[in-house]
Amino acid sequence: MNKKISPLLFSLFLFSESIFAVSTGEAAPACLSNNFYNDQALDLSNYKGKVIYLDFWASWCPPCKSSFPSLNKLHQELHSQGVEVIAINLDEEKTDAEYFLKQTPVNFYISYDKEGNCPKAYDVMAMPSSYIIDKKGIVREVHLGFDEDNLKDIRNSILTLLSE
Amino acid sequence: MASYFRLLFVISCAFQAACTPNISPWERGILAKPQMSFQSNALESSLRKHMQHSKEASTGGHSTGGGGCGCS
Amino acid sequence: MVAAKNSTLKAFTVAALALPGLLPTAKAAQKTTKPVIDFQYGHYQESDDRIAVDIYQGIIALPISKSLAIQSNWVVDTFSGATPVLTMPNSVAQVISGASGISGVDDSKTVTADEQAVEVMTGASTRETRYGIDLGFNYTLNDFVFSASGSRSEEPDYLSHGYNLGVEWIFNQKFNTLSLGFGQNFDQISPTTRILDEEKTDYHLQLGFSQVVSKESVLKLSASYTYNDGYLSNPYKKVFIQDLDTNTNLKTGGFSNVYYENRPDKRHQWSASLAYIQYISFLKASVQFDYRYFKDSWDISSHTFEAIYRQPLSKSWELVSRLRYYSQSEAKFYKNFYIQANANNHYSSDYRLAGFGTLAGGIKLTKEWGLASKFTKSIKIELGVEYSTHAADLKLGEQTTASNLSDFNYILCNSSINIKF
Repeated sequence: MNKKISPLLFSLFLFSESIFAVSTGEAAPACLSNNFYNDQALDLSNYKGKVIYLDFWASWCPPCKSSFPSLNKLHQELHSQGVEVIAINLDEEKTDAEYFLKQTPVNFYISYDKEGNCPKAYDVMAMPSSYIIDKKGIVREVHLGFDEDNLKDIRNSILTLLSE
Repeated sequence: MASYFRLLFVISCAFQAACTPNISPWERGILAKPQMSFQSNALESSLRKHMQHSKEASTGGHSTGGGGCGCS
Repeated sequence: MVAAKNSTLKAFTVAALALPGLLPTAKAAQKTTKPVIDFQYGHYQESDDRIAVDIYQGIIALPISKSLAIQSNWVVDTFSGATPVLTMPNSVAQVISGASGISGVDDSKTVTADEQAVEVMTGASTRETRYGIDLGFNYTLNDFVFSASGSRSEEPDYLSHGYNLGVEWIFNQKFNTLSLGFGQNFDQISPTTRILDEEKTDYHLQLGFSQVVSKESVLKLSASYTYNDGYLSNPYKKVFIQDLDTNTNLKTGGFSNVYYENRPDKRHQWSASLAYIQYISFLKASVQFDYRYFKDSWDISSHTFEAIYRQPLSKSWELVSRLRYYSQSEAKFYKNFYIQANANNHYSSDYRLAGFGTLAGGIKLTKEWGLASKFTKSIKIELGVEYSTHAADLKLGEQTTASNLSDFNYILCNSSINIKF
């Protein structure tokens, strides 16, 4: 049995990058991205005391796009209670994202990260990926992909974090 | 038995290493483009295939699948 | 001496239906959360008053739940025009003046193998219609997509039922897919001009593997195996055989030394294909290369090369151009005509079993409107045309029996609309 485990561990070390991943309970790392419209650098530490729904998306990713109307609703409902939806766009061509945002206007914060600094820092494993960050800046939940059915749970989690 | 498992494991690891390009999930924008898919119009390709089949003695070829954005 | 010419453009239709690919199979890849409707009109036209075909096709894909979708395809084809029924030695063919058929065969002459052959056409211009329908579903479970479909196709002299089962596995962070498909077809052949009631069964097996190679390239490998069992001849096609034993079990074709063709009743077919797509950054275009090798148990082998260039233009227009080259060797029992009996009793002069090559080039223009209306997510139209030239001289390597007597050209046009809701 031991003999079998050692190559297993070895291969996990080789092929998995999970050791660098941001997991729940850890502080949300700082990373460099800029406001999509005015180029101002995004600083998550400015949002201490708020619950952040941090989303990584691209305009070529269908489930990312289909999540936007729902995220906008979430933003409109809970923004006044201290919830910030921040969506970091990862399109290589900014015009593709601009075209999509023109068709699907949203009110939450859109940031742009052409270099992929932030998804590297968060070790994004899927598109889209979202991180729910509490008032103290700790990552509390990680969601891979987007499923309309999970929206209720996400909303409940956010409400719980708001009341902490 | 254990050695078979180990062999299978080594092969699958080798396969995984050989078949896993260094592409992050957010770097699949080009792969998601319509011009990177193997079949753009099912009806058109079925028509062309059908007419080719009726003039030529060969059958077989590709099915669908492959490529894409790999989105979740 | 009754003219053979009333029989058939059916020679075309039967052979066409005998092959898979008539209906687009339920596509696992078409994973949609909203309904999709496709409609297409296609027109096929051969040179020299050979056949013309009008093809109407449609697809409706309807998601039932997040993981289950049903899909239905239908097709209606109408054929008209003339097809070759027979090739025979020129010296013995008694030609009807002003027509492409023959009025008789001069059996006083002895034919030699190196004689010039002539193609005998049907003069038929009747129309014949085929109706086909296919109904299937696909079910997604984690990284697997299962699909199943059943089909029926009907025309006056041909009835076919079939099914297809498939599974696709998407794995290794979606860098790879592996697919497996199996299907069967059960066909009944009852030509309208002969007292004949025959059957055949086809078995298809397909294997596919795809690989994302880099951020800008993808690769796909496929292999297939088909086994046909039963009546594999074309019931309308005839052959010229000199000095065949009068006790033959071949059916006479209405003239002396003319018989209905007879092919083996079993056929194994194998193919292996490779496709590669490369993105061209500075043009935002892509180029695809395809190669297929085919071999069967009748000694036919073929090579197919295809290149496709896809160039997006401004405002959601796209231009697709393609070039295709095909070359096949002849079946082991194929001859333009037979100066003596074959030991295995197999005969066919069908040009599809001859050695030849085809060169084709086509262009296609598409335009997509996103969010075209309140109810539609997108509408896409497509216009395409492809010109092909079929010639014995285009065959790879040296010529065998085939002469250039059955060279012809054809054009295939299509216009289609795709609506996503």
